[in-house]
Amino acid sequence: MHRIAGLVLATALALCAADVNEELLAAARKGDLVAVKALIERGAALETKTPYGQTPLYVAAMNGHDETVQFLLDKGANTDVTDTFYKESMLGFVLQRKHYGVAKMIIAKGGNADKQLADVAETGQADLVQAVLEKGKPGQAALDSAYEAAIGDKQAAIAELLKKAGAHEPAAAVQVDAKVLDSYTGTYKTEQFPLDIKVFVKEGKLYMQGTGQPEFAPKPKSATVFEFPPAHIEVEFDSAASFTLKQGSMNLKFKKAVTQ
Amino acid sequence: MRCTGAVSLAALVLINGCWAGDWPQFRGPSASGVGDGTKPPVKWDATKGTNIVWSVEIPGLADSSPIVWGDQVFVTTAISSDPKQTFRTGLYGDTDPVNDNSPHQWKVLAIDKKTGKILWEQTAHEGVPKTKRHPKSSQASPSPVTDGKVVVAYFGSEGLYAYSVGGKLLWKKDLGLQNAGWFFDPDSEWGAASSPVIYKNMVILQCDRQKDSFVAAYDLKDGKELWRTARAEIPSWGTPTIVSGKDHTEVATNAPRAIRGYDADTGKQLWTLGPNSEVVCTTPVFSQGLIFVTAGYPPVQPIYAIRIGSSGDLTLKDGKESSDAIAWSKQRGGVYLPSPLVYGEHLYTVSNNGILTAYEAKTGVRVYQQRVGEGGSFVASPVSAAGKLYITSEDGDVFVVKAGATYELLSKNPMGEPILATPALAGDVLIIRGARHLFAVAE
Repeated sequence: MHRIAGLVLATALALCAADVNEELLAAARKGDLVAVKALIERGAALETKTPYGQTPLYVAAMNGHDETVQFLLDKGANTDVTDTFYKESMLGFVLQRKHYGVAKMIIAKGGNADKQLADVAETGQADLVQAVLEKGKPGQAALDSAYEAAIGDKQAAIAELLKKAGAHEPAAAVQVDAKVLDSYTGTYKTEQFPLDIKVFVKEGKLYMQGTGQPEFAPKPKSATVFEFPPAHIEVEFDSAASFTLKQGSMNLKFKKAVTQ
Repeated sequence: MRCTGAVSLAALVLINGCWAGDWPQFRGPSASGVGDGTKPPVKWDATKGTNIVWSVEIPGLADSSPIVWGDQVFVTTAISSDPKQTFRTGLYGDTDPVNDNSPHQWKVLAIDKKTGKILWEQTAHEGVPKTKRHPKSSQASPSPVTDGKVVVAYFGSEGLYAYSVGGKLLWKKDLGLQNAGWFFDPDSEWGAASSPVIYKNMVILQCDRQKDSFVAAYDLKDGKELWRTARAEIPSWGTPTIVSGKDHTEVATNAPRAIRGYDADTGKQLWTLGPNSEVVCTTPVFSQGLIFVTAGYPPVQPIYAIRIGSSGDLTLKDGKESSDAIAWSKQRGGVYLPSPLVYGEHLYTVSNNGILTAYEAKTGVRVYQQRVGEGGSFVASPVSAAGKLYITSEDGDVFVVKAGATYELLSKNPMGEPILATPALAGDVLIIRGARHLFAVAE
């Protein structure tokens, strides 16, 4: 009997905890600092998560609620959180939504400096790059990659900061014969995904463009392999008529449908 | 403005309980998108007035589709007091909603199918919207539905309204906050879009929202709730489809947590199937004994062909693409916004970027894949009639494609304004809703 009563009590407590945690996530999402404080006082878990792995700090930050963010940071909330659906870091979402003040608060708490540098360098916000460099110590590879991207994007102020921080000059670009580049041009299709990719050459550089998407210029690693680090894309031509595009866990085989 | 005259009697063929000239709900009879028995036009140009029978300005913004019964066309709209409100067209993935807190009017209009004259308009509700909207969406996205006697309009958080076809308010119902938005951030409100459907004496609604989702049936006569079934579901935007088998009728619903079938008379859940996309906007279609369901968002973009009459958990075992209940399936290739179409022997899908793919409906074997037009965004669902597919781009072009195993573009017809609503087929007339005007097109 005592055992049953104990089980009932444990179940009830677990349900209450679930409620209070859900309330905390809702309050953080809305930036209701008073409620957030009260719920933490009532025992809500600072690192409770939505079904998508977002913590109270994550949802407050992605909605730009700086006071709530500061409170949760002061309570010791983890800043290195990546959601389980989009696999996006908290800082990444904050930057996408241009909550740069909140981004600075997160950076000030430290975290994975390599990842943070990659995230902030794309925004073109030199002060955020400065903040990451001041707080953390990005590795050489992260510095070099961000530096190369900044040069490519003509972000002079960011490039200068990264160079001062020790970024190496990028290696000379691999030169691919113009005839080889021309042989790749055309429109490619895949049976795995409803997307056409147009491959073309402009000013001596290879460009790719998915249907309805902006064009991008993958950098040659060799005559057959090209990469576009900002989108984590690698393209390998196995002939002038087909290539494999790798992005994350995707591995798509494209075949030329139209020659230009 | 000119009138083409009466619809040919020869075209008046009884299909699914209504005449071929009727298009009683979103995508017509049974949401099929098929207007067989009708003979819509092939070539027109709204920018020059060619084959445009009439056009009429409809105030406000609405993604809802026109419906047709007899000589009346019914449309809904939401009129913001902010005159700058518009749709944001194009291909983009932004999640931020439009926060228009200005007072709105939600209206139902009846229009003469022959002349374009507004016969009546009723203001169902006035106030500030209770939820925000997606930049592609509107505060009047669900299409109305009629049985020829009652016209039912659903405005999400602003309620459910029933009018006589003559425009008299019969009843209204507040269904509470219909917060349908981004699963990842509930404050990114996108607005309700699932349309009501009519079965027997009931109007059936699929209300998938951030909390307490449900599917329910209301008495067409007085709005009394006849049954309600709770759903462990997150927001979705597809319209439920009434599917009639030999000895029973189901309500097929498409949503992220599961695709489900319910007994249409009682609301009892009959079957469930997963996995599905985390954002679901498309409507199931039924043909040849199969319920076709698709969705086009991560983590999977499935296409399922489900046999009617199945029961229980139909989820396929790992690595399997078919079973006793699933004729065929794919976990890639599903589409995001336009609902699929089955016409003749083929299942057609149109992706957001205008890729038309044809499959053998019975087997799932891909027959062809072809870009329609030069690209751009496609939101409206395809419809078909008289051996042709009508595919509408957001830029405002209607492409007419020959139905069948090979792709053949018959015409490209400019409307001169963006189009997000699915067209209606009404006899020999094609009713097209643009961002600002309603057009009747006929040759």
